[in-house]
Amino acid sequence: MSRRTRFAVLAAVAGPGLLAGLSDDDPAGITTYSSLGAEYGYRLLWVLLLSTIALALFHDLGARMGIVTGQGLAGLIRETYGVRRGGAALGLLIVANTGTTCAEFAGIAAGFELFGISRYVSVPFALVGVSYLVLRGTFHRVERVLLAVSAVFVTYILSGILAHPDWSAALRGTLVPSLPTSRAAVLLVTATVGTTLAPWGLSFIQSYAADKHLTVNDLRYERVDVIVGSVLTGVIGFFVVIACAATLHRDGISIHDASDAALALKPLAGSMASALFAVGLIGAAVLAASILPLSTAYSVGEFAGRETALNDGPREAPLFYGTYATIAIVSAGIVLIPGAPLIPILILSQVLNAVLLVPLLGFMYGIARNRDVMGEHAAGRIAGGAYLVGIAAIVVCIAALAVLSLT
Amino acid sequence: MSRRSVRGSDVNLLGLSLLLGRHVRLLDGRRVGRVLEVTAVMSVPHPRLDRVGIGTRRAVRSVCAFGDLVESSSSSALGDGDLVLRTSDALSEATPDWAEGALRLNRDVLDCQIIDLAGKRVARVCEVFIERAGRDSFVVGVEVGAAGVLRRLGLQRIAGLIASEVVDWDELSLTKRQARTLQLADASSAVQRLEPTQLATVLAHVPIEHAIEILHTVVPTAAAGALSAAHTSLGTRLMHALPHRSAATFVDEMHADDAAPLLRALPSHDRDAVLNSVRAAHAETLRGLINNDESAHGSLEQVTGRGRFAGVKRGHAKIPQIRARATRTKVR
Repeated sequence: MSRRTRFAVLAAVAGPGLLAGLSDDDPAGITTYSSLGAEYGYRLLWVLLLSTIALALFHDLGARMGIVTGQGLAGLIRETYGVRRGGAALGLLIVANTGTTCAEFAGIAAGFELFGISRYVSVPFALVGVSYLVLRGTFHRVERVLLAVSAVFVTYILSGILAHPDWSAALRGTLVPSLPTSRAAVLLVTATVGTTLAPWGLSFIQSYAADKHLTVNDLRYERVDVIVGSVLTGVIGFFVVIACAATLHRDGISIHDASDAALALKPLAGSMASALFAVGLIGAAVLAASILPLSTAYSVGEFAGRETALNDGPREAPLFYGTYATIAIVSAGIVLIPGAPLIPILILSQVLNAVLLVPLLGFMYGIARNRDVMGEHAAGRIAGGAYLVGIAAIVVCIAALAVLSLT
Repeated sequence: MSRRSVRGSDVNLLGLSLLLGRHVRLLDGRRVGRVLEVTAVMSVPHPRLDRVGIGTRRAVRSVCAFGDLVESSSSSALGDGDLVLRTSDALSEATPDWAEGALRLNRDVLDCQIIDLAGKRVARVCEVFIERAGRDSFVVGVEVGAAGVLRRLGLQRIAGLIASEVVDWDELSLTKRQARTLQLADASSAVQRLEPTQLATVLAHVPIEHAIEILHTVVPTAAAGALSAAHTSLGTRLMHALPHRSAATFVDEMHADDAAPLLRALPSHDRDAVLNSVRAAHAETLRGLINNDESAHGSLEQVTGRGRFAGVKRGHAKIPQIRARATRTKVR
C-alpha cells in the first residue's frame, strides 16, 4: 500500500481517538490545568505526561473493544457481567454524565460572560446548536463539525506561546518528577489524572468506534488516531499549564476556575492571550457538551440493545435521540435556574466519575482478557500487565483523593 | 419481530435467570456450588436442555444432566431455594470441553443482542424461558424489554406494571457475528421476506461475511434462490466463502443449471467436498454438467434441449433471465 493510500485510510479512520481525547480537555480539565500551573508553576508537568500515557493506553483499549465486538461498553458489560452490574454502571454513568454536562454548559455560560454575553442567551443557543447538529446530521457531518470545533484548542497553544514561558523549566518539569509534600498538591495531581481519564470518554470512544463501523483491518490506523488524540490532549494541557505558570504563578495569583484564568491573563499576557484563552474555553465546553449527551445516549441504547447510530434518524432510534435530548435539556436547564446549586452538582459528578472509573476499568480489563468476547484480539499477558499497572496507579490516586478529602 | 405482550403475572414459564446462581446440594445436604451455566442441544422445534455447569465464582467445576436437578423442598417444580441432585452419582467433573458444540444459554443467549438481518439492533434478551414437557425441558422463547430487566434488578413491583414482551424461539435464529459467539437474528425481519432477486441485491451490497451470515439465517430455499439469482461473480465469491456443508445444503436446493457454474469456479478439492455432501443423484447431474464442454457452459437446457432461454446468451436479457432462474428454485 502506497504512503498516500495509507494516509487516506488513516484520514478516513481518524475521529474516535481525536474526539474522545480532545473532549477530555473540557472546562473542568482546563480549570485543573490552570490551577496546576498557577499554583505550582512548571513543577507538576510530569503528571500530564503520565496521564497522557494512561489516556492513550485505555482509549486504545476502548477503541479496540468497540471495533472487535461492534458493541459499546455498557452493552458489553451487561453481556459479560450480567444485568445487575451493567445496570449499576449505567445508572452511575447517567447521573455522573448529567452532572458533568451541567459543568460543560456552565463553562459555555462562563466563557460567553467574559465577552459580556448573558448565559440566558448563550446556553439556549448552544443547546439548540448541539442538538440540531446531532439530531439532523449524519455521522460524517457530526464528526466533521466536532473535529472543526476541536480546532479551537489551537488557541491554548497560541495563548501559551504569547505568555512567553520559560521553556527549559517547562521541559525539566515534564521530564523530572517532583511532588510538593502538601495536601493541595496531591489533590491537584489526583484531579489531573481524574480529569484526563473520564468514564464518559472511555464509553464514548468504544461506542463511537463501533458506530463508525471500523473493522479489525483498521485497528492499527485507529491506534494512530488514539495516540495522536491523546498526545494532542496532553499538548493542550501542557500549554494551558505553561500559560498560567509563566504569568499567574510568577505573580502569585490564585484562580478558582478557567474563566478566572482567562481574566487574570489579560494584564499579564495581553488581551489577545486572554481572549484566546476564553475562546478556547467556549470551544472546549461546546465540544464536551456535544459529546457527553452522545456518550450517555450510546450507553443507554446499548444497554437496552436498541439501535444507536448517528446515521439513523430519531424515528429509527427513539431511545438514542430521546436520551440525548433529555440529558442536554436537563443539564442546560439546571444551569439556567437562578440560584441552582451548581457547585454541589459539579462536585457530586466529579466524585461519581472517580467512583465509577475504577470498576469501569476493571470491567474493561476483564473483557479485554476474555477470549470468548475478544477472540484473537484478546489482550495478552504483557498488555494485560500494562493495564493492571495503569489501573493500580489510578486506584492509588483515587484512594489518596478519598483519604485527603475525608481528613 | 412479532412479540407476544403478557403481564408479569401471566408469565407462567421458568426463567433461566431464576436458576443461575442458585446453590446445588448433594442428597446429604452438602453444597457443591452454584448453577453457572445451562446448555441446550439444538432440536426441532426448540432446543432441548442438556447439562448444567456447577461451580464457584466464574469457573465451572462439575456438570450434571439438567433432568437430575430438582427443587429441594419439592421434586415437582423448580422454584426458589436450593436445588438438589436427584442421585449422588449424577455429578461429574467438568472437562475443558464439557459444553463443546452445545448452546450455552447464559453465555450465548441471556443478555445477548437481537439484531434483524439488516444488522439493526432490536433488543437484548433479558430472560430465557424454559418449559418442561415430560422428562425433557425446552427453550421456548425469550423475553425482551424493560420489564425483564427490572425484574432481574429486583424491582418486581415496577416490573409488574409493565407488559412483558416474549418472542417465540422459532421466530429467532442463531447467527455468528463479530467476535461474539452467537447472536440472535430476528427471522421475521424484512430480509426474510424478500424475493430471491431482492435478497441477491442485498447480498451484493453488504460485506461478504455479512452476506454469508444472511445466507445462514434465511431458510435454505431462500438462500438457494438468492444464489441462483445473484450475478455469477457474486455467487462464486459466496460459494468460495461458504463452509462446505452449508454450500452443499444450498446446492441441494438449487437447480443444477444454476449451481453448476458456481461449482465449476471452485478449486477441485472444494468442489469435491461440496458434491460429496449433496444428494447422490443431484451430485451426479452436477458432475456431468461441470465436466461438459466448457464452451457450452454445460447448460441443462442445452443438454436436454428443453431450455426456456435456449439461444439467449448469458449476460443478455439479464433481468428476465435472473427472474426465470429464481422461479425454478426447488421448494420441498
